[in-house]
Amino acid sequence: MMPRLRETPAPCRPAALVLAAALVAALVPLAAPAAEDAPADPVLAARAFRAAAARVLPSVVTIETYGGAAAPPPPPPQERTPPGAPGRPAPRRRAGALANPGEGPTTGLIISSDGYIITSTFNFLRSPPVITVVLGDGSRHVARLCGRDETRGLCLLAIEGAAGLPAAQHAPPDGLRVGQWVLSVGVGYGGDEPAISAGIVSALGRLSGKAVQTDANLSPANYGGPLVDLEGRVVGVCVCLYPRGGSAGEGVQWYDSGVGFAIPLADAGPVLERLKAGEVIRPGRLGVRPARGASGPGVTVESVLPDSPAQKAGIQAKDVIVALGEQPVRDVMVLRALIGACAAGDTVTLRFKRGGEERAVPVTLDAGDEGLPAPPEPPSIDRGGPGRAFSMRAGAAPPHRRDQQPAQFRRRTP
Amino acid sequence: MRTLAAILCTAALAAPAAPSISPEDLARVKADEAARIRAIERISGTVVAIFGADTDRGGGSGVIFDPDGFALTNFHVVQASGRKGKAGLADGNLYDWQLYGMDPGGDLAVIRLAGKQAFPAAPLGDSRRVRAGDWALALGNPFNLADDLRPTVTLGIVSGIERFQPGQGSGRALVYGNCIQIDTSINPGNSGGPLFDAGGRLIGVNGRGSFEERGRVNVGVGYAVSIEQAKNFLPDLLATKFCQHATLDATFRDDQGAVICDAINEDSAVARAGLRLGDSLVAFDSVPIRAANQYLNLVSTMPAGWPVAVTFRGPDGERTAHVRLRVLPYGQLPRPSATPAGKPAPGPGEKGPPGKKPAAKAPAEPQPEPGQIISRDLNRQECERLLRRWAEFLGGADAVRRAPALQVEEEVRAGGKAAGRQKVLRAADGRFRVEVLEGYPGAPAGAAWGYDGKTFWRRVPGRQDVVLEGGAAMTEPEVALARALAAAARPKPLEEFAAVELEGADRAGGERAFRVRLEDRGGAKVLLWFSVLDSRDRLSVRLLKAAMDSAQKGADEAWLFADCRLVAGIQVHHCRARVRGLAEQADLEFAAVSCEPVASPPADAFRPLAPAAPRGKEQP
Amino acid sequence: MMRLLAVAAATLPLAAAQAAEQNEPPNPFSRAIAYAQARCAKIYGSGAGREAGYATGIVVSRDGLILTAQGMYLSGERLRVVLADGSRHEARVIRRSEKLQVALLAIDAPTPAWFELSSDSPVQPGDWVLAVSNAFNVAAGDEPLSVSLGIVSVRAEMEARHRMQDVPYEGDILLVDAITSNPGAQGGALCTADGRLAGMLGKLFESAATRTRANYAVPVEMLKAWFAGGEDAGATPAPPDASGRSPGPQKPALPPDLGIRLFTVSGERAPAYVDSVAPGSPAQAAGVRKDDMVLAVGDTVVRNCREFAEAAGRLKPGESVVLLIKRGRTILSVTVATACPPAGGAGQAAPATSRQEKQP
Repeated sequence: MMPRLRETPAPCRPAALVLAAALVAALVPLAAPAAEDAPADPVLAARAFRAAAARVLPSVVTIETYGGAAAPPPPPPQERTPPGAPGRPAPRRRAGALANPGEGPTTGLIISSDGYIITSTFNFLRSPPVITVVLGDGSRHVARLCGRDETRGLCLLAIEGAAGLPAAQHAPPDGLRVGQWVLSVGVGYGGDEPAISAGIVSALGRLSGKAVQTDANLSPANYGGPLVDLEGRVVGVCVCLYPRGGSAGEGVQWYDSGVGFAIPLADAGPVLERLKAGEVIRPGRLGVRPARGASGPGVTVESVLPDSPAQKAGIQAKDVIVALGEQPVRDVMVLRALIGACAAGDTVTLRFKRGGEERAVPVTLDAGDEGLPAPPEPPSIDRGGPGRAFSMRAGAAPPHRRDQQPAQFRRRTP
Repeated sequence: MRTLAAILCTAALAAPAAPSISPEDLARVKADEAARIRAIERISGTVVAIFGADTDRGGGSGVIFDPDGFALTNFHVVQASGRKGKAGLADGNLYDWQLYGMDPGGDLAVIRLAGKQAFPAAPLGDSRRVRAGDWALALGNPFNLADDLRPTVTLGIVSGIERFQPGQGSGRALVYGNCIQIDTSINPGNSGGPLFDAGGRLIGVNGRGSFEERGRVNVGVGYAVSIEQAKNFLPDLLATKFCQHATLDATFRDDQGAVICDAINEDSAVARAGLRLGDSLVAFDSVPIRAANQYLNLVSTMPAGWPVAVTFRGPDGERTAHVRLRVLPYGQLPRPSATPAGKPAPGPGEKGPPGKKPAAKAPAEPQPEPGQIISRDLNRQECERLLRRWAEFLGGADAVRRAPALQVEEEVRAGGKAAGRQKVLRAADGRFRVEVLEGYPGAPAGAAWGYDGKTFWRRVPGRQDVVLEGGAAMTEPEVALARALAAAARPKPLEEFAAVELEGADRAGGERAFRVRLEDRGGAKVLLWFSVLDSRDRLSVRLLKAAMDSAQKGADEAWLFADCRLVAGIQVHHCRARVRGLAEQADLEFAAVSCEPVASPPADAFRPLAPAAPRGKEQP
Repeated sequence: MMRLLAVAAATLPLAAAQAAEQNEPPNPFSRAIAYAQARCAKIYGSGAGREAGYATGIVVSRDGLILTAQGMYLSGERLRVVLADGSRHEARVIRRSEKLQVALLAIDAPTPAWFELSSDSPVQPGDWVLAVSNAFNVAAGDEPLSVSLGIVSVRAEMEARHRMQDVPYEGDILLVDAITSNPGAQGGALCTADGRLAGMLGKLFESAATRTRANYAVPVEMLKAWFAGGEDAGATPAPPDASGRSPGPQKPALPPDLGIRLFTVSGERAPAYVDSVAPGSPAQAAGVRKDDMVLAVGDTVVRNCREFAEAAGRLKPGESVVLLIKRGRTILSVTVATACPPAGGAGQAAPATSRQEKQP
C-alpha cells in the first residue's frame, strides 16, 4: 500500500529523530559531497516534497459545509447499479448529486493552538449554516464562521474547546525568493490523503502586495490549504482570487492554469484580529471613473460616481489625482494597485490638482460595487494546434505554370 | 555514549517512518533551487512589460537582447499599438519604446527602449541544443498582473522541439515553424516574452498555445519561436523592415523514404539550377533531409533572400546548387495600425467624451509594404550604430584613425595550392601599394599597383601602365573598397558617404550577416557584410565580406575576411580571399605571414618605385 | 589556415547537425523520455462530436499489442496506429474494459520496443512523473510525442464526471499535477524519471469533488491485472446466493426505513435536521433524537435533505449503517441496524439493538 502521508508521529517524535540523526551523523562519516556543478538527482526533490508535505500535514484540516444557499438543483443522478447485480461500493463522499464548485470538502489550516482555522472564501460563498472540521487525528468538530476578508479571499473558522492543536509554522516573509520550490497541499478531493502539487514562486507582492503568485496547480482541490516551502513552512494560504474584479469565486476559472495566489500570514496579525472579531473586510472603493488616453502623470477624473467616497470628499471631474497617501500615482495602473491594498472603511489622503492648485483631502473608502475598470485584457495568444486531422491544402502549382507560387503546406499522417 | 545513540537510533528507526529527507540531501535540493533563483535574478531585469500608448492598453511581454535597448517581442503584441508605446522593466520604471522591424510571418518584432545609457540584456542561447526534458523558464506579464512591473516567472520543461504550428488566415502569418513546445505555463500577456534555459540563456520567444474548451487559459501546451529563427531575422528587424519569409518556389512530399519534388515554379532559381519534378531533396542548408515536413520547418525560419545550398538527386546524379531564397508572399495580412488599442480615438467628426475637446488626430502614417524599410531615419541610425560597433571592435574609431600603416607580406594560394607571394603597404586612410614578389594567376612577378590618395596606378612588366585619376580612381574596385573600409571606421561614418542603407539579413562566410550598402562621394557603391554574433552567441560586429554593389548581389567577385589579430592596438585581418558567387568559391587566398607597423611612411611610398614610362610608349 | 575560408563557408550549417554531439550534459529526464517515446504510439480513429478522433497508446508486448483509452473514436471504420518510427498500421480492438475505460488494440507487426507492465506501483506522491502523449495531435509521423513534467499528487479513488454524467470507472487512479487532460493525451504513458511505466493517461473527465478537470492515470498494476487476464467489458455475473439459486433479475428490495423524518420546510437544500424519529424505528433504537443533524450516512457525506434521501435510498435491508450526527455542538456517531427481510419478500424494518458511540 502507499505510505500514508497522514500517519505522522505525535508532536514529540521529530525532536527525537533529529537528536538521533545528529548522533548517527557524529558516528558515521558523511559521504563525500557530490560535485558542485552537477544538478542533484531529481529523486531528491521528490523526497523533499514529501517531507515538506508531511511537516505541515498535522495542521491541515478538512472542512465540510452543509446546507449552503439554494442553487439550481443538479440533474438527477443516473442509476449506476443495475438491479440484481451485486452492489458496487458507494462512492466515497458523494451522495449521487453532484456538488457545485464550492460545495465539496475544502481545506483549512490551523493557525493557533486554541482552534482558529484559516481557509478560503471559495467554499463559503453560499453561507453554509453548518460547518464541520476534521483534524489530523481524525476527530471531527463543529466549527463556526468568524470573519471574512474578501480582499484576500480568506475566511476564519473557530472550533470550540480546542487546545494544544498543532498550529502551522510560517516561512519568514523576507526569505521568499522568486524561483524557489513551493508545494500546495489540499484535501479538496475528499480522500484520506492530501493532494500535493509542486511549482515555484512566480512573483511576490501581487494583487496590490497581498499575494504570493505561484505556478503550482491551485484549484478547489487545495483552496484554503497551505502553500509550503521545502522545509514545510507555510508561504501562504491558497486562495481563489481574480484580479479582474467580478464576483468572488470567479477566480476558479484560472484553476490549474499556472497562475495561482497564496496569501502569506506571517504579517497578517492585524487582519486576523479583525477576523476573530467576526468582521467582514470588503474591498475599498473610491468611486471615480478615470479618463482614458489622458497624458500623465496622474489620473484625470472623467466622472465621479454618485454617493461615492470620492463625491463625498468633494472630488470633481477634471481633477487629476497625483498621490494616494505617500505614494505618487503615475497612472490608472498604480491607482488601481494602491486602492486594491485598501479595504472598505479605510481612510486615505488623496492628493489632487485642480486648476493648477494641488490639494489634499481625506477619503473614506466604502464597499460599493463599481470600482476602477479592470486591467486591460492582453492580446490573446493564438489558438494553435490542429485539433483535427489536417487536410492537405490545395495550391500546388502544376508544372509549367510560371506565375503561380507553389503553396507551403504541412503534411500530416495518416 | 554509543549505546545511547544506538538505542535512540533504534527507537527512531522503529517508529513508522514519516516521509523525511536527510539534511545533506535537502541541502543539495536547495543548492539547485538557489542556482535557479540566482539565474532568475540575473535575467529578470531584461524582461519587458509592453504596453500601448499607456499602461491601460495592450499587454504583452518582450526581452532586451542588446544594451542599447533593443528588445524582441511578438508581432501580435505590438501590432495593435502601432509604432510606439510604453514599456515597463523590473526596476519599476516605464520607458518609451518605438518599433523597429516586424515579421508578421514568424510573429516577431523588434522594439527599442529609450531612457537609459545601458539596459540589462539577456545572453542568447542556442535553440539547436535544446532537448525535450530540458528545464524551461518563461518570464512575462500574464493577465497584466505586474502592477509593479516585475515579471511573472513560471517553470516547466521543453515538451518537444522542431514543432510546427500552422499560420492564420491564408496561412502565411504567424507561422511557428521549427518552434519549441513547452509545458511551462504561458497565458495571454506572456506573448513576446522570453523563454530561458536553466542557465538563464535566451532560447525562444513565447507566443502561442494550444487551448482547450476552458478558453484562453494555459493547459500545458505552449509554443515559443526559436531563438535561432530570431537570430536569422535580426538584421532585417534592426533594419526596420517589414520582413518576408522564404520559399524555394518548389514543394516536396514524402515518397517511400525519399523527399520528392512535386511542384516547381519554372522561373525559380532552383529550377534554373537544374531541379526537376521528381528529383529528391537530399540536403537543405547542409542539413540532411529525411522528411518533407522537416524541410518545411527549416525554410520557415529563414528570411527571403538568404542564400542556401540545396542538394538534390535526379537521373543525372547528385548536385548542389547555391540559390537565394525567394519571397513567400503574404496574401491577406492583418496590417499594423497607427491607432492605439483600446477605445478608438474619436474620429474627425465624432465627439469625444463630454467636457473634452476631441483629441488631435495624429497624421496618418503611410502603411509599409512587405519587404520595405519602415523607417529610413531609424535605418540610418542603425547603420551608424553598426559601424560604430565595428570601429569599437577594431580598437576604437580614434585608434583606427591614428593607426600606423602596415607592411604585410602575404602568401597567395590559388585553387588551394601555393601560388605566389606579395608585399602590401596599407595605410589607415585607404592608401595602399602592392608589390608582387612571386607571381600568381592574374599578377605576374614584378607587377605592382597602388593608390596614393588621388591616383590609382598599375604597372605590369611588359604592359602599358594604367593610371586613373580622381573619380575614375575611386571607382576602381580595390580603391573603392579600401576607401569605404577606411571611411566606415571613422568616428562619424555617415558623413563620409553620400548614402547609406542597412539592407538587411544575408549570409557571408557561412555566418549570419548584416548587409550594408554604402555609396561614397565618388559614386562608388560598396557592399559590406558584418557579423551578428560571435561563436559564443554574443553580439559582435566584425567585418566578414566586402564587394562592389552590382545587380546580382553576390554573383560577382567579393572579398571574405578572417583571422583577426591585434597589431599595434588594432584588429587586423590576416586572411582574405577573393570569392565568387553565392557558393563563395575562393579563387585566390591571401594569408599574412608577417605584419609590421610602419610609423610614418613617406608620401611616395604609395607611388610606383620607378618613374612611370611616358604614356603611349611601350615598356621595354 | 589557408583552408580556413573555404571551410568557414560550409561551417555554420554543418554545425546545426553536429550540435547534438556537443558535450552539453543531457537533462536528467532525457533518457526516460527517449525510452518512453519509443514505446508509445499515435492512434487515429474517427472523431465523434466533440470527442477528438486521435489518441495515444502504449505498446505492451513485442508482437503488436497496444493499450489505449476506451472511447467512441475506436468504434469507427478505420483505426490506424503510427509507431514511433513513423510506420503506419491498421489496428483492431480485441478487448475493452468499461470499468477501467481501457482498450487493447492489435496490429500485425512486431513491436520490439514495448513496456513491461509491472504488478507493483513504482510511484508514490511527490515523485516526478513524465506524461508522454500526442496531446493536440502536435506530432505527426515519426515526430516524437510531447512530454510534460509533474509530480504524483495523490492516489485516490476515481469519482469522475464527463459532461454531466457519472463515469463508470472503478478503482484507484493516480492524480498528477501535470496537465494531462487534453484532447489526444488519453492512452499515453505516465513514467517515472527512470523510465518505468507508472500508468496510462486517462480521459477528459472532471473530478466530481472539485468540478475541475482531473489529470490522472490508470495505475500500472491495474493495467497489468486486466491485461494478464482480468474481466472484460460489462458486469461480472453475480455469484449465486445462499439458497443456491443464481439471482436472476428480480424486484429490487426496498431500502429499509430508518425512521428518520427530516425538517424539510426550508427546502431540500437545507441541512438534514431531524424533525422527528418514528417510534420503534431503528433510528430511535440507535438513539437518534429530534434536532440532531445528519452529517454522513456511512461513508457518504450528506450535505442536505436531498442528499440524505439519496444516501438512505441506497441502503440495503439488513445493512447496518453508521450515521454521523451533529447534536448541538458535539459530533457523535450512531450505528443503526436494520433487519434482514424474509426471503423472497420485501424488506421490513425491525427493531434491532444498536450501539451509540461518542466521538470526541
